[in-house]
Amino acid sequence: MVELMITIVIMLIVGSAIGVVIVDSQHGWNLMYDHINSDVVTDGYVARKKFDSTIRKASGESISLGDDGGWVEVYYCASDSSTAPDRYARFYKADRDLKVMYGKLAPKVTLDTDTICGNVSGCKFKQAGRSVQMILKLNDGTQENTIVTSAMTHN
Amino acid sequence: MKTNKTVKLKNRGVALPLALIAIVLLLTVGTSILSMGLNARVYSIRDASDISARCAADAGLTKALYEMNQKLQSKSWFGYELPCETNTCLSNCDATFDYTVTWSPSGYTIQSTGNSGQAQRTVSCILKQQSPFDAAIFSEGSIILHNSGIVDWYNYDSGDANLKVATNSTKNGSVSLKSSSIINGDVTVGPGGEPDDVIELKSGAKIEGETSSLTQEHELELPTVPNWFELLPAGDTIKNNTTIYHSGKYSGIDLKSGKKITVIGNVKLYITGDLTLGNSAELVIEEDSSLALFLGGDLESKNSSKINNETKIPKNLQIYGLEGCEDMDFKNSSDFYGIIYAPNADIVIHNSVDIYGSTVCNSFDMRSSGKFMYDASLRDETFSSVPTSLVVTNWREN
Repeated sequence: MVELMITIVIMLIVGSAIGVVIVDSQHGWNLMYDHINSDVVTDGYVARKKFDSTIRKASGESISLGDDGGWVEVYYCASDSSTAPDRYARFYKADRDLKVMYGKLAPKVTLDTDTICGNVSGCKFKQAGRSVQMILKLNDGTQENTIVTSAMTHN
Repeated sequence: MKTNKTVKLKNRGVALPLALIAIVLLLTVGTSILSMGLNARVYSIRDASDISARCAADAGLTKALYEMNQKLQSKSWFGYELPCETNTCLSNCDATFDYTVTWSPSGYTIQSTGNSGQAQRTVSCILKQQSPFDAAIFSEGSIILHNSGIVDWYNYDSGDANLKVATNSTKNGSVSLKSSSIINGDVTVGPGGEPDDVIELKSGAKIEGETSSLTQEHELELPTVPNWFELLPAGDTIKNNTTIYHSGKYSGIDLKSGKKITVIGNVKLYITGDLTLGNSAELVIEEDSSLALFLGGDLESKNSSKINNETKIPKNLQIYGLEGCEDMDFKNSSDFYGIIYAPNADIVIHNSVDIYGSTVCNSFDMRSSGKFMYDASLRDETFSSVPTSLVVTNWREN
Protein backbone atom coordinates (compact mmCIF):
# COMPACT_ATOMS: atom_id res chain seq x y z
CA MET A 1 0.00 0.00 0.00
CA VAL A 2 2.80 2.41 0.93
CA GLU A 3 4.64 1.51 -2.24
CA LEU A 4 1.53 2.21 -4.26
CA MET A 5 1.05 5.63 -2.59
CA ILE A 6 4.68 6.57 -3.19
CA THR A 7 4.40 5.54 -6.82
CA ILE A 8 1.20 7.57 -7.26
CA VAL A 9 2.76 10.68 -5.65
CA ILE A 10 5.83 10.36 -7.83
CA MET A 11 3.66 9.90 -10.91
CA LEU A 12 1.60 12.96 -9.91
CA ILE A 13 4.69 15.13 -9.48
CA VAL A 14 6.23 13.97 -12.74
CA GLY A 15 2.85 14.23 -14.53
CA SER A 16 2.28 17.76 -13.23
CA ALA A 17 5.76 18.83 -14.26
CA ILE A 18 5.31 17.41 -17.73
CA GLY A 19 1.86 19.02 -17.92
CA VAL A 20 3.28 22.43 -16.99
CA VAL A 21 6.02 22.06 -19.61
CA ILE A 22 3.51 21.02 -22.26
CA VAL A 23 1.10 23.87 -21.43
CA ASP A 24 3.97 26.39 -21.38
CA SER A 25 5.27 25.08 -24.69
CA GLN A 26 1.83 25.37 -26.20
CA HIS A 27 1.52 28.92 -24.90
CA GLY A 28 4.96 29.78 -26.32
CA TRP A 29 4.03 28.21 -29.61
CA ASN A 30 0.81 30.26 -29.78
CA LEU A 31 2.71 33.42 -28.90
CA MET A 32 5.32 32.78 -31.56
CA TYR A 33 2.68 31.93 -34.11
CA ASP A 34 0.92 35.23 -33.37
CA HIS A 35 4.16 37.15 -33.64
CA ILE A 36 4.71 35.73 -37.11
CA ASN A 37 1.27 35.22 -38.56
CA SER A 38 -1.24 37.43 -36.74
CA ASP A 39 -3.13 40.10 -38.69
CA VAL A 40 -1.25 43.04 -37.19
CA VAL A 41 2.04 41.54 -38.32
CA THR A 42 1.08 40.47 -41.84
CA ASP A 43 -0.83 43.75 -42.35
CA GLY A 44 2.34 45.56 -41.36
CA TYR A 45 4.32 43.79 -44.11
CA VAL A 46 1.64 44.62 -46.67
CA ALA A 47 1.51 48.28 -45.60
CA ARG A 48 5.28 48.56 -45.77
CA LYS A 49 5.49 47.03 -49.24
CA LYS A 50 2.68 49.19 -50.61
CA PHE A 51 4.18 52.35 -49.12
CA ASP A 52 7.66 51.50 -50.43
CA SER A 53 6.59 50.75 -53.97
CA THR A 54 4.40 53.85 -54.25
CA ILE A 55 6.91 56.29 -52.78
CA ARG A 56 9.86 54.86 -54.72
CA LYS A 57 8.21 55.51 -58.10
CA ALA A 58 6.99 59.00 -57.13
CA SER A 59 8.43 62.32 -58.21
CA GLY A 60 10.80 64.00 -55.77
CA GLU A 61 9.98 67.45 -57.12
CA SER A 62 6.97 67.85 -54.91
CA ILE A 63 5.66 66.02 -51.85
CA SER A 64 2.63 67.29 -49.93
CA LEU A 65 2.34 66.57 -46.23
CA GLY A 66 -0.59 67.22 -43.91
CA ASP A 67 -0.06 69.83 -41.17
CA ASP A 68 -0.02 67.22 -38.42
CA GLY A 69 1.65 64.57 -40.58
CA GLY A 70 -1.68 62.79 -40.82
CA TRP A 71 -1.42 62.29 -44.58
CA VAL A 72 1.10 62.39 -47.38
CA GLU A 73 0.51 62.92 -51.07
CA VAL A 74 3.00 62.03 -53.78
CA TYR A 75 2.86 62.41 -57.55
CA TYR A 76 3.91 59.93 -60.20
CA CYS A 77 3.67 59.13 -63.91
CA ALA A 78 0.90 56.81 -65.03
CA SER A 79 2.94 55.31 -67.87
CA ASP A 80 6.31 55.39 -69.61
CA SER A 81 5.01 57.88 -72.12
CA SER A 82 4.10 60.46 -69.47
CA THR A 83 6.58 63.30 -69.46
CA ALA A 84 5.37 64.80 -66.19
CA PRO A 85 3.57 63.43 -63.13
CA ASP A 86 -0.08 62.97 -64.00
CA ARG A 87 -1.29 60.87 -61.06
CA TYR A 88 -1.34 61.30 -57.31
CA ALA A 89 -1.43 58.86 -54.41
CA ARG A 90 -2.48 59.97 -50.94
CA PHE A 91 -1.86 57.81 -47.85
CA TYR A 92 -4.08 58.59 -44.88
CA LYS A 93 -5.76 57.05 -41.86
CA ALA A 94 -9.54 56.86 -41.84
CA ASP A 95 -11.13 55.51 -38.65
CA ARG A 96 -9.03 52.42 -37.96
CA ASP A 97 -7.94 51.83 -41.57
CA LEU A 98 -4.88 52.87 -43.53
CA LYS A 99 -6.03 53.92 -46.98
CA VAL A 100 -4.45 55.07 -50.20
CA MET A 101 -6.36 57.26 -52.62
CA TYR A 102 -5.33 57.33 -56.29
CA GLY A 103 -6.31 60.03 -58.72
CA LYS A 104 -5.60 62.08 -61.81
CA LEU A 105 -4.01 65.49 -61.79
CA ALA A 106 -5.05 68.59 -63.70
CA PRO A 107 -7.93 68.50 -63.00
CA LYS A 108 -7.64 66.61 -59.76
CA VAL A 109 -10.06 63.69 -59.87
CA THR A 110 -10.15 60.72 -57.51
CA LEU A 111 -10.04 57.42 -59.39
CA ASP A 112 -9.88 54.81 -56.65
CA THR A 113 -9.39 54.30 -52.94
CA ASP A 114 -7.82 51.13 -51.51
CA THR A 115 -7.81 49.99 -47.93
CA ILE A 116 -4.34 48.72 -47.18
CA CYS A 117 -4.92 47.44 -43.65
CA GLY A 118 -7.19 47.68 -40.61
CA ASN A 119 -6.51 47.79 -36.86
CA VAL A 120 -4.63 51.08 -37.25
CA SER A 121 -4.23 52.83 -33.90
CA GLY A 122 -1.91 55.58 -35.15
CA CYS A 123 -0.25 56.75 -38.36
CA LYS A 124 2.19 59.61 -38.89
CA PHE A 125 4.15 60.70 -41.95
CA LYS A 126 7.37 62.72 -42.06
CA GLN A 127 9.38 64.16 -44.91
CA ALA A 128 13.09 64.90 -45.19
CA GLY A 129 14.21 66.10 -48.61
CA ARG A 130 13.14 63.55 -51.17
CA SER A 131 12.35 60.80 -48.67
CA VAL A 132 9.17 60.04 -46.75
CA GLN A 133 8.78 58.11 -43.51
CA MET A 134 5.70 56.31 -42.22
CA ILE A 135 5.24 55.39 -38.57
CA LEU A 136 2.31 53.00 -38.44
CA LYS A 137 0.89 51.52 -35.25
CA LEU A 138 -1.37 48.49 -35.52
CA ASN A 139 -3.31 47.14 -32.57
CA ASP A 140 -5.92 44.39 -32.68
CA GLY A 141 -6.64 44.52 -28.95
CA THR A 142 -4.33 41.66 -28.07
CA GLN A 143 -1.17 42.61 -29.87
CA GLU A 144 0.51 45.86 -30.95
CA ASN A 145 2.92 46.25 -33.87
CA THR A 146 4.78 49.43 -34.78
CA ILE A 147 6.18 49.71 -38.29
CA VAL A 148 8.67 52.44 -39.12
CA THR A 149 9.52 52.50 -42.80
CA SER A 150 11.14 55.06 -45.08
CA ALA A 151 11.37 55.28 -48.82
CA MET A 152 12.98 57.69 -51.23
CA THR A 153 11.36 59.10 -54.33
CA HIS A 154 13.26 58.32 -57.52
CA ASN A 155 11.57 60.24 -60.31
CA MET B 1 -1.21 -14.09 -3.54
CA LYS B 2 -2.96 -14.01 -6.87
CA THR B 3 -4.37 -10.49 -6.20
CA ASN B 4 -0.98 -9.03 -5.17
CA LYS B 5 0.64 -10.41 -8.30
CA THR B 6 -2.00 -8.80 -10.54
CA VAL B 7 -1.56 -5.32 -8.89
CA LYS B 8 2.20 -5.55 -9.24
CA LEU B 9 1.87 -6.44 -12.91
CA LYS B 10 -0.56 -3.51 -13.54
CA ASN B 11 1.75 -0.96 -11.81
CA ARG B 12 4.69 -2.10 -13.88
CA GLY B 13 2.77 -1.43 -17.14
CA VAL B 14 1.67 2.19 -16.38
CA ALA B 15 4.96 4.12 -16.12
CA LEU B 16 6.36 3.24 -19.53
CA PRO B 17 3.33 4.23 -21.62
CA LEU B 18 2.98 7.44 -19.63
CA ALA B 19 6.60 8.32 -20.17
CA LEU B 20 6.29 7.50 -23.87
CA ILE B 21 3.18 9.67 -24.22
CA ALA B 22 4.96 12.56 -22.48
CA ILE B 23 8.01 12.18 -24.71
CA VAL B 24 5.86 12.09 -27.85
CA LEU B 25 3.94 15.18 -26.74
CA LEU B 26 7.11 17.08 -25.89
CA LEU B 27 8.71 16.05 -29.18
CA THR B 28 5.65 17.21 -31.12
CA VAL B 29 5.59 20.59 -29.40
CA GLY B 30 9.35 20.98 -29.70
CA THR B 31 9.31 20.10 -33.39
CA SER B 32 6.49 22.61 -34.01
CA ILE B 33 8.42 25.37 -32.24
CA LEU B 34 11.58 24.53 -34.17
CA SER B 35 9.66 24.46 -37.42
CA MET B 36 8.06 27.82 -36.64
CA GLY B 37 11.44 29.28 -35.74
CA LEU B 38 12.96 27.92 -38.92
CA ASN B 39 10.16 29.38 -41.02
CA ALA B 40 10.58 32.76 -39.36
CA ARG B 41 14.32 32.60 -39.94
CA VAL B 42 13.90 31.67 -43.60
CA TYR B 43 11.38 34.48 -44.04
CA SER B 44 13.64 37.04 -42.42
CA ILE B 45 16.65 35.90 -44.49
CA ARG B 46 14.57 36.20 -47.64
CA ASP B 47 13.34 39.64 -46.57
CA ALA B 48 16.85 40.82 -45.70
CA SER B 49 18.18 39.51 -49.03
CA ASP B 50 15.42 41.32 -50.85
CA ILE B 51 16.27 44.59 -49.09
CA SER B 52 20.00 44.10 -49.77
CA ALA B 53 19.32 43.37 -53.45
CA ARG B 54 17.18 46.48 -53.74
CA CYS B 55 19.84 48.63 -52.07
CA ALA B 56 22.47 47.16 -54.40
CA ALA B 57 20.32 47.92 -57.46
CA ASP B 58 19.81 51.50 -56.22
CA ALA B 59 23.54 51.83 -55.56
CA GLY B 60 24.33 50.61 -59.07
CA LEU B 61 22.00 53.16 -60.62
CA THR B 62 23.48 55.94 -58.49
CA LYS B 63 27.01 54.91 -59.48
CA ALA B 64 26.07 54.83 -63.16
CA LEU B 65 24.50 58.29 -62.88
CA TYR B 66 27.64 59.59 -61.17
CA GLU B 67 29.88 58.11 -63.89
CA MET B 68 27.71 59.65 -66.61
CA ASN B 69 27.80 63.06 -64.94
CA GLN B 70 31.59 62.80 -64.60
CA LYS B 71 31.74 62.17 -68.34
CA LEU B 72 29.48 65.14 -68.95
CA GLN B 73 31.65 67.45 -66.83
CA SER B 74 34.89 66.30 -68.44
CA LYS B 75 33.23 66.53 -71.87
CA SER B 76 34.62 63.08 -72.72
CA TRP B 77 31.42 62.13 -74.39
CA PHE B 78 31.95 59.07 -76.51
CA GLY B 79 29.02 56.77 -77.07
CA TYR B 80 31.14 53.63 -77.29
CA GLU B 81 32.71 54.28 -73.89
CA LEU B 82 29.56 54.19 -71.86
CA PRO B 83 30.19 53.01 -68.30
CA CYS B 84 29.29 49.52 -67.15
CA GLU B 85 30.19 47.32 -64.20
CA THR B 86 29.63 43.66 -63.39
CA ASN B 87 29.52 41.85 -60.08
CA THR B 88 30.62 44.86 -58.04
CA CYS B 89 30.39 44.32 -54.27
CA LEU B 90 28.37 46.68 -52.17
CA SER B 91 30.46 47.81 -49.20
CA ASN B 92 29.86 46.09 -45.85
CA CYS B 93 27.38 43.73 -47.40
CA ASP B 94 27.38 40.51 -49.41
CA ALA B 95 25.18 42.03 -52.14
CA THR B 96 26.53 42.77 -55.60
CA PHE B 97 25.35 44.92 -58.50
CA ASP B 98 25.72 45.09 -62.26
CA TYR B 99 24.80 48.09 -64.37
CA THR B 100 24.82 48.98 -68.02
CA VAL B 101 24.23 52.25 -69.84
CA THR B 102 22.82 52.10 -73.33
CA TRP B 103 21.89 54.74 -75.83
CA SER B 104 18.68 54.90 -77.79
CA PRO B 105 16.86 57.74 -79.56
CA SER B 106 14.88 58.38 -76.37
CA GLY B 107 18.11 58.99 -74.45
CA TYR B 108 20.60 57.17 -72.28
CA THR B 109 19.10 54.28 -70.34
CA ILE B 110 20.59 52.85 -67.16
CA GLN B 111 19.69 49.36 -66.06
CA SER B 112 21.00 48.20 -62.71
CA THR B 113 20.54 44.79 -61.12
CA GLY B 114 21.22 44.03 -57.47
CA ASN B 115 21.83 40.47 -56.26
CA SER B 116 21.85 39.13 -52.73
CA GLY B 117 21.47 35.43 -52.03
CA GLN B 118 18.49 34.22 -54.02
CA ALA B 119 17.02 37.73 -54.32
CA GLN B 120 17.40 39.85 -57.44
CA ARG B 121 16.03 43.33 -58.06
CA THR B 122 16.30 45.45 -61.17
CA VAL B 123 15.78 49.18 -61.57
CA SER B 124 16.06 51.23 -64.73
CA CYS B 125 15.71 54.83 -65.79
CA ILE B 126 16.24 57.21 -68.68
CA LEU B 127 18.67 60.09 -68.26
CA LYS B 128 17.79 63.59 -69.24
CA GLN B 129 20.03 66.63 -69.33
CA GLN B 130 18.51 69.12 -66.94
CA SER B 131 17.79 72.45 -68.58
CA PRO B 132 18.61 75.49 -66.44
CA PHE B 133 15.42 76.97 -67.83
CA ASP B 134 12.90 74.43 -66.53
CA ALA B 135 11.04 77.28 -64.83
CA ALA B 136 9.72 80.49 -66.35
CA ILE B 137 11.30 82.45 -63.52
CA PHE B 138 13.67 80.93 -61.00
CA SER B 139 14.94 83.20 -58.28
CA GLU B 140 17.22 82.74 -55.32
CA GLY B 141 15.19 85.36 -53.45
CA SER B 142 12.09 87.39 -54.15
CA ILE B 143 9.76 87.41 -57.15
CA ILE B 144 7.44 90.39 -57.40
CA LEU B 145 4.76 90.93 -60.01
CA HIS B 146 3.18 94.36 -59.86
CA ASN B 147 -0.40 95.24 -60.77
CA SER B 148 -1.84 93.24 -63.66
CA GLY B 149 1.44 91.48 -64.42
CA ILE B 150 0.98 88.15 -66.15
CA VAL B 151 3.20 85.08 -66.39
CA ASP B 152 2.05 82.76 -69.14
CA TRP B 153 3.64 80.32 -71.59
CA TYR B 154 3.80 79.18 -75.19
CA ASN B 155 5.49 76.49 -77.33
CA TYR B 156 4.24 73.73 -75.04
CA ASP B 157 2.65 70.38 -75.82
CA SER B 158 -0.35 68.86 -74.14
CA GLY B 159 0.95 66.65 -71.36
CA ASP B 160 3.91 68.90 -70.63
CA ALA B 161 4.55 69.68 -67.00
CA ASN B 162 2.90 72.93 -65.94
CA LEU B 163 4.62 76.26 -66.25
CA LYS B 164 6.59 76.81 -63.07
CA VAL B 165 7.68 79.89 -61.16
CA ALA B 166 10.04 78.98 -58.34
CA THR B 167 12.23 80.42 -55.61
CA ASN B 168 14.71 78.98 -53.14
CA SER B 169 13.45 81.47 -50.56
CA THR B 170 11.26 80.53 -47.61
CA LYS B 171 10.78 84.08 -46.29
CA ASN B 172 7.23 85.28 -45.87
CA GLY B 173 6.05 87.29 -48.87
CA SER B 174 9.03 86.30 -51.06
CA VAL B 175 6.64 85.68 -53.93
CA SER B 176 4.38 88.69 -54.15
CA LEU B 177 1.57 89.04 -56.66
CA LYS B 178 0.08 92.52 -56.58
CA SER B 179 -3.52 93.15 -57.51
CA SER B 180 -4.89 91.40 -60.59
CA SER B 181 -1.58 89.76 -61.47
CA ILE B 182 -1.78 86.16 -62.69
CA ILE B 183 0.54 83.19 -62.92
CA ASN B 184 -0.84 80.61 -65.31
CA GLY B 185 0.94 77.67 -63.70
CA ASP B 186 2.50 76.36 -60.50
CA VAL B 187 4.47 78.25 -57.89
CA THR B 188 7.12 76.47 -55.85
CA VAL B 189 8.80 77.97 -52.79
CA GLY B 190 12.02 77.01 -51.01
CA PRO B 191 12.48 73.70 -49.20
CA GLY B 192 10.54 73.57 -45.95
CA GLY B 193 8.71 76.81 -46.77
CA GLU B 194 4.98 77.08 -46.21
CA PRO B 195 3.53 78.18 -49.59
CA ASP B 196 0.64 80.05 -47.94
CA ASP B 197 3.11 82.22 -46.00
CA VAL B 198 5.79 82.61 -48.66
CA ILE B 199 3.32 83.58 -51.38
CA GLU B 200 1.49 86.85 -50.93
CA LEU B 201 -1.59 87.37 -53.07
CA LYS B 202 -3.20 90.80 -53.28
CA SER B 203 -6.80 91.34 -54.36
CA GLY B 204 -7.60 89.73 -57.69
CA ALA B 205 -4.18 88.10 -57.96
CA LYS B 206 -4.35 84.47 -58.97
CA ILE B 207 -2.21 81.34 -59.31
CA GLU B 208 -3.89 78.99 -61.76
CA GLY B 209 -1.84 75.91 -60.83
CA GLU B 210 -0.66 74.32 -57.59
CA THR B 211 1.57 75.75 -54.90
CA SER B 212 4.20 73.59 -53.23
CA SER B 213 7.66 73.68 -51.73
CA LEU B 214 10.89 72.31 -53.20
CA THR B 215 12.12 69.05 -51.73
CA GLN B 216 15.69 70.29 -51.87
CA GLU B 217 17.40 73.59 -52.57
CA HIS B 218 18.19 74.25 -56.20
CA GLU B 219 21.81 75.33 -56.28
CA LEU B 220 22.50 78.07 -58.79
CA GLU B 221 26.00 77.82 -60.15
CA LEU B 222 27.64 80.66 -62.02
CA PRO B 223 27.89 80.38 -65.80
CA THR B 224 31.26 79.61 -67.34
CA VAL B 225 32.93 81.77 -69.97
CA PRO B 226 34.48 79.78 -72.85
CA ASN B 227 38.19 79.28 -72.16
CA TRP B 228 39.35 80.89 -75.38
CA PHE B 229 37.88 84.25 -74.25
CA GLU B 230 40.40 84.39 -71.41
CA LEU B 231 43.27 84.46 -73.91
CA LEU B 232 41.83 87.36 -75.90
CA PRO B 233 42.76 90.95 -75.04
CA ALA B 234 39.71 93.07 -74.20
CA GLY B 235 38.79 95.70 -76.77
CA ASP B 236 37.77 99.24 -75.86
CA THR B 237 34.32 100.12 -74.60
CA ILE B 238 31.81 100.35 -77.45
CA LYS B 239 30.11 103.75 -77.42
CA ASN B 240 28.92 104.45 -80.96
CA ASN B 241 27.20 102.75 -83.89
CA THR B 242 28.84 99.38 -84.43
CA THR B 243 28.13 96.28 -86.45
CA ILE B 244 29.51 93.08 -84.94
CA TYR B 245 30.08 90.05 -87.15
CA HIS B 246 32.48 88.06 -84.99
CA SER B 247 32.84 86.99 -81.42
CA GLY B 248 34.98 89.21 -79.23
CA LYS B 249 35.88 90.56 -75.85
CA TYR B 250 35.24 94.15 -74.79
CA SER B 251 35.85 96.04 -71.59
CA GLY B 252 32.33 97.48 -71.73
CA ILE B 253 29.42 98.78 -73.74
CA ASP B 254 28.25 102.30 -73.05
CA LEU B 255 26.06 103.10 -75.99
CA LYS B 256 25.21 106.78 -76.24
CA SER B 257 21.69 108.08 -76.87
CA GLY B 258 20.23 107.04 -80.19
CA LYS B 259 23.23 104.84 -81.11
CA LYS B 260 22.95 101.26 -82.30
CA ILE B 261 24.87 97.99 -82.15
CA THR B 262 23.93 95.45 -84.79
CA VAL B 263 24.82 91.80 -84.45
CA ILE B 264 25.01 89.75 -87.63
CA GLY B 265 25.87 86.05 -87.51
CA ASN B 266 26.33 83.79 -84.54
CA VAL B 267 28.27 85.93 -82.13
CA LYS B 268 29.58 85.51 -78.60
CA LEU B 269 30.58 88.61 -76.68
CA TYR B 270 32.43 88.76 -73.39
CA ILE B 271 31.91 92.15 -71.73
CA THR B 272 34.21 92.39 -68.73
CA GLY B 273 32.56 95.56 -67.40
CA ASP B 274 29.08 97.13 -67.51
CA LEU B 275 26.65 97.23 -70.40
CA THR B 276 24.67 100.44 -70.65
CA LEU B 277 22.23 101.36 -73.39
CA GLY B 278 21.58 105.12 -73.35
CA ASN B 279 18.17 106.66 -74.03
CA SER B 280 16.77 105.34 -77.31
CA ALA B 281 19.94 103.33 -77.96
CA GLU B 282 19.49 99.96 -79.55
CA LEU B 283 21.05 96.50 -79.53
CA VAL B 284 19.81 94.58 -82.56
CA ILE B 285 20.21 90.87 -83.29
CA GLU B 286 19.36 90.51 -86.94
CA GLU B 287 17.36 87.72 -88.56
CA ASP B 288 19.27 84.39 -88.70
CA SER B 289 21.70 85.63 -86.08
CA SER B 290 22.30 84.92 -82.44
CA LEU B 291 24.10 86.52 -79.54
CA ALA B 292 25.50 84.94 -76.39
CA LEU B 293 26.50 87.72 -74.04
CA PHE B 294 28.79 87.06 -71.05
CA LEU B 295 28.49 90.01 -68.73
CA GLY B 296 31.07 90.70 -66.05
CA GLY B 297 29.34 93.88 -64.80
CA ASP B 298 25.82 95.29 -64.55
CA LEU B 299 23.28 95.86 -67.30
CA GLU B 300 21.20 98.99 -67.68
CA SER B 301 18.96 99.81 -70.59
CA LYS B 302 17.72 103.37 -70.20
CA ASN B 303 14.43 104.96 -71.27
CA SER B 304 13.19 104.02 -74.72
CA SER B 305 16.24 101.86 -75.42
CA LYS B 306 15.69 98.58 -77.24
CA ILE B 307 17.17 95.12 -77.03
CA ASN B 308 15.73 93.96 -80.27
CA ASN B 309 16.03 90.25 -81.09
CA GLU B 310 14.58 90.26 -84.58
CA THR B 311 14.53 86.46 -84.76
CA LYS B 312 11.89 86.49 -82.03
CA ILE B 313 13.41 83.24 -80.78
CA PRO B 314 14.46 83.57 -77.14
CA LYS B 315 17.38 81.13 -77.33
CA ASN B 316 19.00 83.38 -79.95
CA LEU B 317 19.73 85.95 -77.26
CA GLN B 318 21.43 84.45 -74.25
CA ILE B 319 22.57 86.78 -71.49
CA TYR B 320 24.85 85.21 -68.89
CA GLY B 321 25.54 87.30 -65.79
CA LEU B 322 28.91 86.41 -64.26
CA GLU B 323 29.93 86.87 -60.64
CA GLY B 324 30.14 90.68 -60.86
CA CYS B 325 26.76 91.06 -62.54
CA GLU B 326 24.48 92.13 -59.69
CA ASP B 327 21.96 94.49 -61.28
CA MET B 328 19.96 94.35 -64.48
CA ASP B 329 17.63 97.27 -65.12
CA PHE B 330 15.40 97.11 -68.17
CA LYS B 331 13.60 100.27 -69.29
CA ASN B 332 13.46 99.13 -72.89
CA SER B 333 10.55 100.14 -75.01
CA SER B 334 10.22 97.00 -77.15
CA ASP B 335 9.36 93.40 -76.45
CA PHE B 336 12.32 91.36 -75.24
CA TYR B 337 13.03 87.90 -76.63
CA GLY B 338 15.83 86.23 -74.72
CA ILE B 339 16.99 84.13 -71.83
CA ILE B 340 18.83 85.48 -68.84
CA TYR B 341 20.96 83.33 -66.57
CA ALA B 342 22.39 85.58 -63.87
CA PRO B 343 22.35 83.93 -60.43
CA ASN B 344 23.74 87.04 -58.66
CA ALA B 345 21.62 89.65 -60.43
CA ASP B 346 18.58 91.54 -59.21
CA ILE B 347 16.45 92.00 -62.32
CA VAL B 348 13.99 94.90 -62.57
CA ILE B 349 11.64 95.31 -65.54
CA HIS B 350 10.29 98.86 -65.55
CA ASN B 351 8.18 99.38 -68.62
CA SER B 352 5.01 97.63 -69.76
CA VAL B 353 6.71 95.51 -72.40
CA ASP B 354 6.36 91.80 -72.95
CA ILE B 355 9.22 89.44 -72.13
CA TYR B 356 9.56 86.17 -74.05
CA GLY B 357 11.94 83.53 -72.73
CA SER B 358 13.02 82.53 -69.27
CA THR B 359 15.14 83.88 -66.45
CA VAL B 360 17.26 82.61 -63.59
CA CYS B 361 18.31 85.33 -61.17
CA ASN B 362 18.86 86.44 -57.59
CA SER B 363 15.60 88.41 -57.51
CA PHE B 364 12.97 89.39 -60.03
CA ASP B 365 10.79 92.47 -59.96
CA MET B 366 8.33 93.21 -62.78
CA ARG B 367 7.20 96.75 -62.07
CA SER B 368 4.84 97.03 -64.95
CA SER B 369 1.70 95.47 -66.27
CA GLY B 370 3.51 93.58 -69.02
CA LYS B 371 3.47 89.91 -69.76
CA PHE B 372 6.22 87.40 -69.10
CA MET B 373 5.81 84.63 -71.68
CA TYR B 374 7.76 81.48 -70.95
CA ASP B 375 9.04 79.56 -73.98
CA ALA B 376 8.45 75.93 -72.95
CA SER B 377 10.70 74.63 -75.75
CA LEU B 378 13.67 75.82 -73.65
CA ARG B 379 13.17 72.76 -71.46
CA ASP B 380 14.54 70.59 -74.25
CA GLU B 381 17.51 72.81 -75.06
CA THR B 382 21.05 72.41 -73.79
CA PHE B 383 23.22 75.36 -72.85
CA SER B 384 26.94 74.70 -72.75
CA SER B 385 27.75 77.77 -70.67
CA VAL B 386 25.59 76.79 -67.73
CA PRO B 387 26.77 73.96 -65.47
CA THR B 388 24.30 71.19 -65.98
CA SER B 389 23.84 67.59 -65.00
CA LEU B 390 22.00 64.49 -66.07
CA VAL B 391 18.95 63.67 -64.03
CA VAL B 392 16.83 60.56 -63.67
CA THR B 393 13.51 60.31 -65.47
CA ASN B 394 11.14 57.40 -66.09
CA TRP B 395 12.53 55.46 -63.14
CA ARG B 396 11.12 51.95 -63.05
CA GLU B 397 11.45 48.98 -60.73
CA ASN B 398 10.92 45.36 -61.72
